[in-house]
Amino acid sequence: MVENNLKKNLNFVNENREFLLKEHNNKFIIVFEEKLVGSYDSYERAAEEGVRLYGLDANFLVYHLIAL
Amino acid sequence: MINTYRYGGSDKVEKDGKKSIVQILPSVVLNQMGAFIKVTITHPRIVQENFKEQGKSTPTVSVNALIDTGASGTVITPHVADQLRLIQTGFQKVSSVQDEQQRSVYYGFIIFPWGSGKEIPIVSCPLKNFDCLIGRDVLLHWHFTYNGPDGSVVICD
Repeated sequence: MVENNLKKNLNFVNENREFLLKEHNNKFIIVFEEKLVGSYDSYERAAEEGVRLYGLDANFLVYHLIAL
Repeated sequence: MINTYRYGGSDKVEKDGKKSIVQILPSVVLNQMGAFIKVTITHPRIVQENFKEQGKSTPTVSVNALIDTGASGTVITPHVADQLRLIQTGFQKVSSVQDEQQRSVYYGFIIFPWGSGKEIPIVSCPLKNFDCLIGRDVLLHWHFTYNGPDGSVVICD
């Protein structure tokens, strides 16, 4: 379920990659329910904001737009 | 903070029907095992606050972590990620000599033996011998010395 929702969010990024790159180059974006929520300078900042907005059970994607 | 780790160990051997314990040189342990430290993996502080509000305790696990200059990012095994129920925030393409795979990325908090820690994205991937790899995302904050003949490492964080 989590994986599926995250994959939908990832598809949203891939489909809109060109536009997102132009607007948010080298930023960490949050995508929730296939919508862009925010853009941040670091992974930590984005993930923290995702938890703040949606709590622990939401499936928000954080995406960086640029021994076995 | 300067931290020195000198490795050492012992092994059971049997000779002429007699069992005895022999010491293994630090240089041999470091050579055979690689540089590793015990770390605690848990949830980032903001997630811990959420747990607290719900009256739940935050799960944590202690694991041996190999310091791996060949890994660009920090890695845990899927077992550790499941055990902690870490929040998955996405995916990462992971490349080894053999192949390339898309693996899950989690929002995690790695705490070092000297008390400081880093809240970072952690990739989940099956590993041999260790449950965690400390990658260059952490090493970029350290001054790290590997002393092969002495069997010790020094970490300045």
